[in-house]
Amino acid sequence: MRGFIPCAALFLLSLAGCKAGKDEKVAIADTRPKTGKELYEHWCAACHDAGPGHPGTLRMAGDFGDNRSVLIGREGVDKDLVKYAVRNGFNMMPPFRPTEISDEELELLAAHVAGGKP
Amino acid sequence: MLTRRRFVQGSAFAAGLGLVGQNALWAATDMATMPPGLTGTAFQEALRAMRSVVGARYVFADETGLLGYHDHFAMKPIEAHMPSAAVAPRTVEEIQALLKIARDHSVPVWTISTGRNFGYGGPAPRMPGTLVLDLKRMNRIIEVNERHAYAVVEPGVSYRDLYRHLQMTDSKLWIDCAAPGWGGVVGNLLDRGVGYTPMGEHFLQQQCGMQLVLSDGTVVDTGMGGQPGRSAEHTYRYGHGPWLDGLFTQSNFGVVTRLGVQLMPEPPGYRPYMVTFPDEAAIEPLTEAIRPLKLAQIIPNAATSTELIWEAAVEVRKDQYHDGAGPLPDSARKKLMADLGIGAWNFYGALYGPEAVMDATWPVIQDALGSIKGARFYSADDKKGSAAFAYRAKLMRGIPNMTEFGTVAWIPNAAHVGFGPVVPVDGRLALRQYNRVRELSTRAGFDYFGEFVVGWRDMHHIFMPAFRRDDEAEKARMLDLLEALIDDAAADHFGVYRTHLDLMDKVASTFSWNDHALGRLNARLKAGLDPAGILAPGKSGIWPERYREAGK
Repeated sequence: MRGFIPCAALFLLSLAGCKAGKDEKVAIADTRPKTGKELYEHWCAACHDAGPGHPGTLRMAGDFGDNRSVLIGREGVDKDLVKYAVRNGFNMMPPFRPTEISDEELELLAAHVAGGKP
Repeated sequence: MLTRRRFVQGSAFAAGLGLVGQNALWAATDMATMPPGLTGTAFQEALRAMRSVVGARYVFADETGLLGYHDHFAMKPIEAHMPSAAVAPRTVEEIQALLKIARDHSVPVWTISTGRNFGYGGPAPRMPGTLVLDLKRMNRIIEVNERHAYAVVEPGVSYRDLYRHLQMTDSKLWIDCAAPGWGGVVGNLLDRGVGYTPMGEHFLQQQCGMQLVLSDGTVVDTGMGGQPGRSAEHTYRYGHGPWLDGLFTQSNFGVVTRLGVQLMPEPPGYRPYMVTFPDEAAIEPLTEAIRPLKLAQIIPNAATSTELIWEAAVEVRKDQYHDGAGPLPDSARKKLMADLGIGAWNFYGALYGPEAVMDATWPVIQDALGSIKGARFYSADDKKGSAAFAYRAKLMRGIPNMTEFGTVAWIPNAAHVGFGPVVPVDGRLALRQYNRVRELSTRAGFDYFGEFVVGWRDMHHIFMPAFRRDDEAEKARMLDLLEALIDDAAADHFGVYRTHLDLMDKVASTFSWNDHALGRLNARLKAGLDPAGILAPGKSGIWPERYREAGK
């Protein structure tokens, strides 16, 4: 994992008025995506959701046709393919490094995409 | 790890993703690149020492591990910017330890934050063999101050990270993001990128408080951060004495590890609008009309005049209008305008504030822009269903999205690259720049993707053409075009504000007044601040003595 702070309690802390001293560690809400669905929404949805304004979908419609343009639910999209495309890139999509999406997060993300449900 | 061969033979074909075979940059290469002047044994010793600092998991030195450290949008062959390895620290202390190893072993390092700066080189280093110092794991949002409207972030925090955080904590602060929302808050600001809200000039309007590590390991907090207690560190940027922060933008003088970023309080009202102009020459009167409105801040945000193809490409693909070679013909351009309800030029702006203030401002803008031939005004209600309007409306209130990458979806398997001359807000100059860049672009066989972003007193003319990643001749032609554009701009005395790895030396060479006095000063600063010459050799055309020959 990429060092998530185990801080369910910290999540509830208010930061109002909490000014950091120079070397002070500040408790701040951990709002990073954690589930497969959250990771998809954070990393993939802006390009791959259905509808206009999503460049991945726009391009895949040109390459494969409108009915094979949306990533989630598309036939043949399995976990291995998602993991490969994320790490290697796919045509216009650059790869994503393990420092961006950890291997553990990629497992969750790939399972969500391959699951076929938005 | 799934092998490439198994992937291609297996699920990719089943999915109908045949184009994946043209994808991986690594396909034809299997070579290790060492830092110049270093033996393999010495480099392996350095990597071993680095593993002891960050853990083996965060040192990447094989083909698989380095897949994400190349310029996916490269114009030159991959070897031109091949990293030797990458290392990803988590703390300032780890950076200090890594820089000591780099000094001791003469390993050059290239710092990235999120590495999403595609169009300018992405995560790849300028000099082949440089080790990438990947700060993406330093992704803490250290502080959000609602009262004084700022955040303090580490380099790995993306626009989406910060936006998500503010949303989830019910913050009343807005961010300002670059058009690709996957970009990094710190990286974009340090590269002097721009956004689209009233805080759109990132370095000028947002940066306040910087922590950095010098190449000798010294940690420095600039401005008011230099004082114990640092109560005004993120509200007053200058401190006492020389203001140093600018030295660490677009430079290789230190490693920035933390920034204060001033944010915009959510205004009580927001009204995005669009004005279209059918004539290509309208950029001249439009620019003349914008200048006084921007100087008086009647248009408060970084306002944008977008040309037809850029505007259209976020909605449609080129093959839907033209399946031949070369730039889009005039007949197709006219059809695009009619189909999408857009102009040859499309101006986007927004009103912010109490309703009464917006009501008072709007007629002034209408009078100024409405006097231009063919002007048509649109509100959000008028443009429901338009992806182009929707993403501009998001950008002008700081909501990250990726819609603008539609310009890369314009043609199959594409990349894009940026050319950004800075032009005074002057209609005659804007028209001249537009005509010249479009003429050279057309002659080279590329569509003109352009916009003029008016931050305050200048315009960034952003030319961001798309080209095929799988066509070596097309990539070489694009590089030739950019070199010609830089020469042409320099002949007109226009400077480029930011550029791709391949063109840093060339752009730097155009700042040549007084026998390159500016470049010589940069070299003196480099020698003083980084005597070992390990930090980002070649960044912005600044080379340490040690690598000057290797860089050529």
